[in-house]
Amino acid sequence: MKKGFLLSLFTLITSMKAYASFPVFIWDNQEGLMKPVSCQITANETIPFRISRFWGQGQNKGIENLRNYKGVRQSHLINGSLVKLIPARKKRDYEHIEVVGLNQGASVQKTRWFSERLDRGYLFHKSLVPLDDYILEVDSKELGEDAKTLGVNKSSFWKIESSDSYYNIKCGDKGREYTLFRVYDSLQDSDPKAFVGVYWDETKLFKNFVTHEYYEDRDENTELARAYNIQDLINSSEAEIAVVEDKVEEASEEGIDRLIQELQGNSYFGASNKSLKGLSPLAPKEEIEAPQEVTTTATTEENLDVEEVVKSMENQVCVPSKTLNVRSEELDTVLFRASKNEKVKIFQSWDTEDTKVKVIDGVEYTFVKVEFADREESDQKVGWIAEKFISPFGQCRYQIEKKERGIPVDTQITGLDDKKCCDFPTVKKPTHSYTSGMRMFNARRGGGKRAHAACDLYRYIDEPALSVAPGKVVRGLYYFYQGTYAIEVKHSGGFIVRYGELTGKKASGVAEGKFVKMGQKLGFIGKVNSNCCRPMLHFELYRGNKKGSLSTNGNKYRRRSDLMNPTKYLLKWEEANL
Amino acid sequence: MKSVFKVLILVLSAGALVYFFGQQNQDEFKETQVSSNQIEATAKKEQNLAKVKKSEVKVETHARQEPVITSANVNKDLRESTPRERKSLETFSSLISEFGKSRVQINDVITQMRQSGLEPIVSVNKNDATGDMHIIRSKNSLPGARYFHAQFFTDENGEKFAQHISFEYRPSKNAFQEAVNIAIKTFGLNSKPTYQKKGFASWETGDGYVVWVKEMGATDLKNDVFNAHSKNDIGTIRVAKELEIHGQDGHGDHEHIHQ
Repeated sequence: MKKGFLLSLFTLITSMKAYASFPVFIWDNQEGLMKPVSCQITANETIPFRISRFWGQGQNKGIENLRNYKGVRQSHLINGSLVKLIPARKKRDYEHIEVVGLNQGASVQKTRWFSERLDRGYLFHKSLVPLDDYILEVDSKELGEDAKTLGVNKSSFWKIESSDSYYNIKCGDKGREYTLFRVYDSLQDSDPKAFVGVYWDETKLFKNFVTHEYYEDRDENTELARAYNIQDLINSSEAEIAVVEDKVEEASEEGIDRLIQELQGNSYFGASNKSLKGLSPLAPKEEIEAPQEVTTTATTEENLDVEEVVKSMENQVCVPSKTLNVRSEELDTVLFRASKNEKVKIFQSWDTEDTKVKVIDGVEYTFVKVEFADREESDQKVGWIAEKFISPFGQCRYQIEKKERGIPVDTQITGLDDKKCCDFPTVKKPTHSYTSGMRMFNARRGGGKRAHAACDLYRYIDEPALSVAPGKVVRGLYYFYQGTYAIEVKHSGGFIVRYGELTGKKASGVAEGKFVKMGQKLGFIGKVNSNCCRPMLHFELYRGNKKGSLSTNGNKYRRRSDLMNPTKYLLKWEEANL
Repeated sequence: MKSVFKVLILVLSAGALVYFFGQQNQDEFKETQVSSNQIEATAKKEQNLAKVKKSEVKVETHARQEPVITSANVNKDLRESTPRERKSLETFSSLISEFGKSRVQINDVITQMRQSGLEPIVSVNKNDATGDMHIIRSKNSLPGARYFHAQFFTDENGEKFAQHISFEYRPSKNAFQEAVNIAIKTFGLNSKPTYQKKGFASWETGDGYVVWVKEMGATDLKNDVFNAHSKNDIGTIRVAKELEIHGQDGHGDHEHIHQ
């Protein structure tokens, strides 16, 4: 009896020790790893994630075709990529998916034709295999600081938690369900470093990874198949909630106000002293960048009758802390948290009641409704935040200076006639000739009163528009024509291109002031409201030796006088590239 | 010899057939050509008559002659608009009408906005390569209308002109028709749009601009660079005046996708 007691005690201590060493997190695209609060484990028969692979006869290819509903191939999806099933119009023998992340371990040379993260389309159902049969190796660079939190080194290995069923972490009655993964530092480890729940709509950490096949019945994988009591792990991790609550307080309106007051009261952060001399003692983990010198830019030469000319019509969250609470319509619930400097669009209400007031701890706050347009997760797009913590982009004193990585190295070209110039601006040949009809340069417009100032390159909606040469975006997306947008790029060599009739969807890494490479995606082809025409790229070319706006009055093109006919260049680039 | 003879007959028969049908087609072509000429002439006559009639019609009647422009989504469950909202629609449309043109003074826009009860916010986007673009938006909305947005470019000669001005009108039972009617009245447009389909109408204003009214669906609201939207905004009407890019010329070359 004594032996039995000691054995069970030993087991209990060992298991408790084991449980204590397995933290449980949930992943948030903005905040990274977070501790789950008030969450339960639920069992599920299915999960939305799958792995892609080639299926078919003949030579085993390294890719599978992602198609549209009509079966037209849109792009190549590398084998071993992670996708998620999303609801859409049903197509027999096919599943509608969205690309979550790409397998970097495939020995396939990527071209512009390859699928990218967030691409959507239809995959043959046999090309989708369960995630259970794979392990995803995620480079620690993708996790940033959270790699340390997980306790992993160069990379981490993610295995879906599944035995007789899949497991989700469900937080709150109407809350999200996070698909559970176990995370290893090495495939030779006997125990995982942590368990992490990933929401189907928040998957940035899986943007890039290397896929490894997993065979459960292999001896070397015995440890990886070990079962754990996840609910107990969650329960035990709630003892650490005190730390989480501190962070939540910082994210709240009153917490931020206290932080601002303390910053201003600190001799280093006096309101009159705009240069930082040291770190904030309140945020040891994060260096608060020196408050930007905020200057109003009232254009004195124009004497505009406004108090302030803002730097941008874009707005951002402006707080000294890392995050800010985003509240529900009633303002009584915190839905999620916004990150410092995160872009927001402010709603205008139809009823002129654009704001709501709430008193929090004796302090009155005015709240506005905002849209977080850059977020992928559909359930965290809209909410209410305190108006005082919003500022025009570029005017926030707490701006984080993001270190640029991967700045493209421009292939310098001397001009349009350089041998290295240029790429064609669409991914495939236009479906219709741009040298004839209404699509050609100089075609009649406005009943003959004007002439067409561009070549119209017909392609398909949402297809990428590509930069023809390296250059700099001199004007970001702006309203152009009938629900479409334009972007202006000054290319190396000095010539300028206006890429028109794009959608409002921003291409990754492209914004005003950014450099772009030859062949880089600048935007996506749109279609004008009137449906007069197919989706197209409206391509205008300028020599670049004049000043002023590209659109103007005066000549038959209603364009600046250095407008050029792009036809011969497009033909040359099409010949060379397509 | 016999086989050669047979082949010869075959060839001659084929040639005769080709000639015969060719002649027929030519004759048909001639007939249709003649007919089409007649039709064109008739059409021109009718057009001229119509123009004469139109010039006799007073402007006020445009409002009464409600064009048959259908909304894409006539939702009987939608509320009716209020008089205040229709007033806002007029206010915003008037602003566009007044400043949607070449040769604009920014301060005039600012002043007029304030007089209309709007709080202007201005940004100036400058670059040496493609000049200045002033963006003026309203910080606030009026009942039933919001997101006033204007883009003004500065040309080589330093003159400012409107490139795009727009606003949004609240969804209601007849919002689209109301917006169309006000646009016709305010901009002095023809009761028949240059182009129309369900939920969309556009007019060329003859000065290089185009006015359009659109009932926006989910896709239209997605990825708007400036305006915040949620799913509840489906059915919002956008009214815009902007520089024309595609006219309605040469319908044959552009593939019209009618819905």
